[in-house]
Amino acid sequence: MKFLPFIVRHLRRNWMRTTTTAAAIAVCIFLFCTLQTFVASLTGFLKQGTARLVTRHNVSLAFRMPNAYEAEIAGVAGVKRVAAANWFGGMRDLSKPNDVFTNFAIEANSFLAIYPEFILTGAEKQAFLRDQRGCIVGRSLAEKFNWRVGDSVELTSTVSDYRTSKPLDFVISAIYQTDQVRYPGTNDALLLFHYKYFDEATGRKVGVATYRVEISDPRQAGRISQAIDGLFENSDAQTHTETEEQYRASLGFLGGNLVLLLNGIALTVMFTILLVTANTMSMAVRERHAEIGVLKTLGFPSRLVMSLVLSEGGILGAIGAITGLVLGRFLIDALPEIPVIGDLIRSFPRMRVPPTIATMGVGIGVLLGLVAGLIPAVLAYRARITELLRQA
Amino acid sequence: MLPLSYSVKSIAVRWKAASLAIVGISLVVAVLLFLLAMASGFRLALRATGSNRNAIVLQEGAASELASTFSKAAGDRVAVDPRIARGADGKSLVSPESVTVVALPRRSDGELSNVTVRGVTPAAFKVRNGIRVIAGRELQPGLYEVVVGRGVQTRIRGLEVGQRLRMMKREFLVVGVMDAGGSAFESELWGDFDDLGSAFNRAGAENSLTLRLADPGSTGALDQEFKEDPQLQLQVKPERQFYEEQAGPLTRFLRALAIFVSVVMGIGAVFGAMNTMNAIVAARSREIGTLRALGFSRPIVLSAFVLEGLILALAGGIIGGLLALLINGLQATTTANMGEIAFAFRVTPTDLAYGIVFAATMGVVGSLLPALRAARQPIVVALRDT
Repeated sequence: MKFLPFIVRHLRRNWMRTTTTAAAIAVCIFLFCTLQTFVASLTGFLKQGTARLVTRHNVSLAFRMPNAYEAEIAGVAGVKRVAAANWFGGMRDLSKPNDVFTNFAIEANSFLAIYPEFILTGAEKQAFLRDQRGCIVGRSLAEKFNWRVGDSVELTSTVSDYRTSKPLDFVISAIYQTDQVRYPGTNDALLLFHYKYFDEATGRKVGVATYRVEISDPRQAGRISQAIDGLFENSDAQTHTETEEQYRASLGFLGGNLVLLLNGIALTVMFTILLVTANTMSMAVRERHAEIGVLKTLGFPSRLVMSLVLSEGGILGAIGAITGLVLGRFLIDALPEIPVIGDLIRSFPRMRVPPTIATMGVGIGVLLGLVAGLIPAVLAYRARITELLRQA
Repeated sequence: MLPLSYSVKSIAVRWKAASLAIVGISLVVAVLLFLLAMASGFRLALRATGSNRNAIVLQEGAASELASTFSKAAGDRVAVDPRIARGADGKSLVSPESVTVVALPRRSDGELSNVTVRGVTPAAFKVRNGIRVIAGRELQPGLYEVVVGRGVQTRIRGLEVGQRLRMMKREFLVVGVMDAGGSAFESELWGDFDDLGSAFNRAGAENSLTLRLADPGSTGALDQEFKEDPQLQLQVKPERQFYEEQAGPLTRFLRALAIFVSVVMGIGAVFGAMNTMNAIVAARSREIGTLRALGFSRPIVLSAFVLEGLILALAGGIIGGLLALLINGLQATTTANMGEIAFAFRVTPTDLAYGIVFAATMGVVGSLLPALRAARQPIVVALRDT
């Protein structure tokens, strides 16, 4: 500790170099934390609902199952609740493809019980359940279109079987909240409306695209899936049941490899920080050969000299990382404003770098600083006094 | 003007620091090109799927084939339009098609993957020239057969020629493998229109019509007429434009990600380059003083150092480009309109040029401040400094 002023003085000696290095670390840590937060949301979204299964038509999601299946699925041992949910693919204006958002027709009562991550107060829930044309929307979707409770919304489906002579009209009953800590990655940009209204409007012939099945024991998922599919084995519409995690992964972008891609980028970012810091540290040690020689001559043990260089790297890393986090705190709010990236991020809203990732960011900054200081530190440790002094 | 070799030699003297800066810049360029190659590969695969000479007819307002349905009667009315080109046999070149998605097990892990199944008539192969059956034989209508795309065959289990595939109520025999020049059709299964229609209980419904126009310029007029005809309510688009639009969302996302990541990483690399250049300038303070004393003006000294930064960055850019070329042709898949589409990474010359320009920008920006510092130093101070 008592050497701290010594180290800090060294860092200030070439303040321009220290600043640029810290800045380089800062932007990289910012990028790293942003990417990791996004990855965490994404995996959180994928891993949600371990106690939930999704049953769909055996052929694919493009086919639908009879409504009568619901009662049969509910009768399978271990099944707690079942809710029909159809992706509606509705748009306010079909000629504006960039205005898309996700909307589902759901059996509200059971669906909201199965998905506690869509948070409504008791009164809001009642208001939604009472109004057949009611719908609930996520907070960021409401903000995007400037919607308030009571506003009406008209949607036309892009799915041809769901197309009606005039658009379906809805009234916003409530704006649901999400809890990104308890349920990370919950989509905050959905519009959910009553399956019953949708079914009647489309002439009661569209059927059900997915049944969301809540089970009491996640360990029974395999057995229950088989039991459900067994029920319909000999019928016209056979089913395929899988865990919600598998279901979501199968719909994923880039065949589920987006996480891999982002992690790859994060790794490259880390390597870039290492290069920049290593460069700085080796320059710092090189220009101080004489000084290190003097320290050693005065009797400071080589070990201490080495740890001084190492901690200089570590402190540099920490300064950079903390700057990056502070920077990120403000910049991450601006991200949704960036076109395209923003659209994707908006469905993983309220992105805040969680404490775990922030800690990891600082840890990585310090660690990379230490690693960057390692070679110069070892060189300083090994170097003989005479050589050090002569080189100078 | 100082000779170029001056800048090159001075980098060589400080090769350690210089190489760290070069590697840093090359990584940024490699990441940028990697993401751009993914976007370009996907776009090119879909672009190759459409031909400029063809037009696609969909239900008005439908953004994809899956979302479009119209009756056979409407399709037949379109087919008699005199503006449609005719084949050697005198029949008009119109291909009515049905599209659906079937979940089939992947070869790698047995997990289900969505495969597009297209119902076609023999006209489909006439309207699209680039499709060849490279193994097995062509499709026979009425026999419940399918030909499989080359790409989907390597990804999905049980699609060898001679194997049987159950789809809804019927078993289909795989009779051939088709090559479609790397386009999205290689990710599809093609079966007879009527066979698939009866297997999937969708007899008669068409999802799209692809037609060859005698004059591709008439697309706009047809679109107008078909939209206004209350019995049709169909839209017409050039086929190539339609497929390029399908690539839009993913391509835009990847490009935006590429720009965001590379700009932020680039700022980091610029700071790194700045360090290196600063060290170079500091170490040569005396030399700079000498140059100035010899009569080289400030702008010349400045440009010599900026040039040095530029050379560093260009070296980084070229290495990054070479790194990116390693992934050229790498296969990846993504979901588009529910079906999985395979595509190859494509490092295009334009993207490479972007990478090099980006590297050069990093070099110039990174070396500007240190170069200014070098040029501004008063001669006396510079010479005194050791």
